Order: sequence, then structure tokens, then C-alpha cells
Amino acid sequence: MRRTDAIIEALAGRRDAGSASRSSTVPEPGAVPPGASGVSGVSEIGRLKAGDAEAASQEGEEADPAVRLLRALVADVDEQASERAADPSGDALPGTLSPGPGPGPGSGSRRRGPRTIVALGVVGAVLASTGVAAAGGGLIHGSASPPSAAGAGKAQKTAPEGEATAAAVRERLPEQSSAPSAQSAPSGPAGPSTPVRRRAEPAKEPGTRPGHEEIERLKRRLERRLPPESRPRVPGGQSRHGVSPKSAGPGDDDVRRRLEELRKRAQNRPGKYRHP
Amino acid sequence: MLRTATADESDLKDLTTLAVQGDPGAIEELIGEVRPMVVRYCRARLGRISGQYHIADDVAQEVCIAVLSALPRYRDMGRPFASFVFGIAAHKIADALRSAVRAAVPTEDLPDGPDDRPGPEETVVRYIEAQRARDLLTRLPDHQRELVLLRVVAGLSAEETGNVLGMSAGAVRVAQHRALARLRTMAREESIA
Repeated sequence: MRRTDAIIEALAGRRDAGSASRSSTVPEPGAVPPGASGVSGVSEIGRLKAGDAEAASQEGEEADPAVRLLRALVADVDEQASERAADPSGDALPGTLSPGPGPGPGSGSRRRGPRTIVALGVVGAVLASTGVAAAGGGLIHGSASPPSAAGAGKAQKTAPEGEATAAAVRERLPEQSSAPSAQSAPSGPAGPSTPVRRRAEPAKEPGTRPGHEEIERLKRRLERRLPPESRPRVPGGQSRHGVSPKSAGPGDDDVRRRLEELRKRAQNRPGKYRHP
Repeated sequence: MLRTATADESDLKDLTTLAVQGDPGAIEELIGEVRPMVVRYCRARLGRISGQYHIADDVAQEVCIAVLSALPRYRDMGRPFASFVFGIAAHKIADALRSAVRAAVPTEDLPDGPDDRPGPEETVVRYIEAQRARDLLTRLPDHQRELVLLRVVAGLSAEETGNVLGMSAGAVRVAQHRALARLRTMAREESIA
């Protein structure tokens, strides 16, 4: 048991040279177990000095597989601890990132995948909103809302969708402006009539629905800008703004005055949008 | 030499007293003293995952944080401070073994300078032998395994180990002798096999 204690003390004490362990290389005063005969504690301790313990452990290691394995274990757990202790950068404590090459993705600062995806999603959404806004003259809404992290993949899709929407708006705008609107609502503000118009529109692909709404919105604004003569006429002779071109009578001057007013209003509107 | 161990213990006791009172320098020094032991112990208990000690080191970090948090409530009951630390470590390791999550391996960039570490063959041999040691230790009874780890890997004295495990120093020495003998027998049987 004394020898075992010496071996274990040597295994534990060997690290004192390269680590901050407090282990002593000399057995404690109570090292001699009770009942030991013939050997005093002082002489035993005197024999088992650090160098003797070292020699004893080395000798034991050659013959003792358990000691050899324990020494390997100690060396293995000490491997990176001693490297850290020798690190001049000041981070001498083990427990930080391993310097050795390792497979797989890293954590903390090395894990950039999800952040990269989120960043790309946000950037894509911003660019999409900027592109669509530029294409639509600032008239398209709803594309600038930032996507959530969970929808980062969808955000990347909104960029091409936004561009397609802008292109569709540009293409459809001249077509829609000349076609008579058979589904136009009776006169009134655009707000309440908007939901009616939306419901009347045929269902299209989900990706084009926002574009279709944008088209309708642009169409209404364009019609407001156009002079009263070029506005599409609805059946019944009523224009969207409730002005009947067939109204005659003593109010001809009134009608003309009203038309002039409308014309001036329409002429002022493009200026309003050009110079917000 | 005898006084060295006693002087170390009394120094640590004074350090603990100051740290409990909130002295920042004493706290730092105290953690610096116990942390290497805790790291080695956690590494020996938990082993490598995917070739790295990152989980063991994380657990060691958690132990140090828990010790730091519990310092204000620590009361000297006549037992060494190491007993308090390794009592916390045992719980944290048990939690880690229960969860047994295989996390990703954190890595740094490859260094650009010369590699002074042992060569690959030596590293592999040491790694294999260390793993064999762990395997043999798992086949020991729990108290013998803990005793060997605390004595050999963590470097605690027989008294400190006894305080952690609730044994006397003499009982620790008897138990360590039996544990080593058992390890020897198992290692030889494996070699023969």
C-alpha cells in the first residue's frame, strides 16, 4: 500500500512541473497506514522523496500496465492544458477552443451558416423592396416589410418575385389603361370600392396576386391623372367620378368649369408625385 | 516537505476566506488554483467527444461558474475547499452524462506556424492508451473509480479525496491500493486476450 501510495502520488505530482496543481510529491504525515510494522513514518517519508518516487513510478510503469495506462490518461488530459499554460497570449486556462483541427462545423463565432442565411434574407428583402419601389415609382407597398428569421428562405424568393412584379406592372400598365373596365365600381372613393374590385378579380397564382392589386392601384391613379375625355367609359355613361359627359342643359358652363377644374387637378397630380 | 502540503492547505484556506468575503484578487487566484484540477477531472470522467475535450471543458467551465456563484454562501465546515468544488463537479458531470448531447466540435483556424506537439504516432498511441484507461476505470466500482480519478487525475491528497467521498484518509489509501490492483489485473487479462 505504501508503494501504491507512492506511485499514485508520483502520478499526481508529476504534473506539478507543468501545471498549477497543488499536489505534493511527498506523502502526507499520515501516509503510513495504521498497522504497518517495522517501518517508521519518518524513515518511510525520507525514502520516498520526489526523485525516488519518480524512479519508483518509472520502474513500476515498465512492469505495471495499470500505471502505464493511468500515466497515459494523465498525459492525455494534460495535453491541451499544458499547451494553454504555455500560450503567451494570456489565455492559459484550458476549457477554451481546441487548437487542433477537428471535423464538423464549429460553434460560436465559427457557426456562420444560419447567420449568413438570415443576413442574405434581410439583404434580399431590402434590395427587393428597393427595386420594386424604384420600378413602381414608390407606389408599391408591402414589399419593404422585413422577413422573419424563419422566413429567411422565403425572403430570398421575394427578391425575384418582387422583380417579376415590377416587370408585370410595367407590362400591364399600358394594357390596362386602354381596356374598358367592366368591373369598375360605381362612383365613390377608392377605399370602399377596393375590396369589391379585389373580390371580383379572377383568382390567380399566389405569386401574381400582389402584382394584380398593384396593377389595379396604378390603374386607378392613372385614370385620375388622365384628362376626363380619355377616361374609359362605363356602361350607362357614368364615369368613375360620377361626371356624366352627356349632362347638358343650363349647366354647360358649369360642366365646362368642372372639366377645367378636373383637368387642372389632373395636371397637378403628376407634379405632386414627381416632387414628393 | 511535510510543511509544504500543510502550508498549501492553509494558504488555500486563507484564500478561500478572502474569496468568500468578496476579494476579487483572492477569487481569481482561488479559481485559478482549482480550475486545472477540475478540467483534468472532467476530461478524465467525460472523455473525448469526436476527438476533442470540448464538452468536458464546457462542464469544467460550468463547475467553475457554479463555484464562483456559490462562494458567498460557502461556510468552512472543517472540510477542505476541494471537497466543495468536487462535490459540485460530480453533480455537473452526472448532468452531462445524463444529457449526453453530441454537440458540434468547435474549432479554431489552423495555426500558421510550426507544430511542436508530439507526432501523430505518439499522439495516437497516447490517445489509445488513455481510452483504454478510461474503459478499465468504467469497469471499477463507482467509489474506486472516483477515488482514482480524484487522486491521480485531479491530484487531490488522500485527505481531500476522503472528504469528497466521505472516507478517511486511511480508507482512501486502502481503497486506492485495491483499485490499482484491480486495474492491473484487468489490464493484464486484456493484454493476454
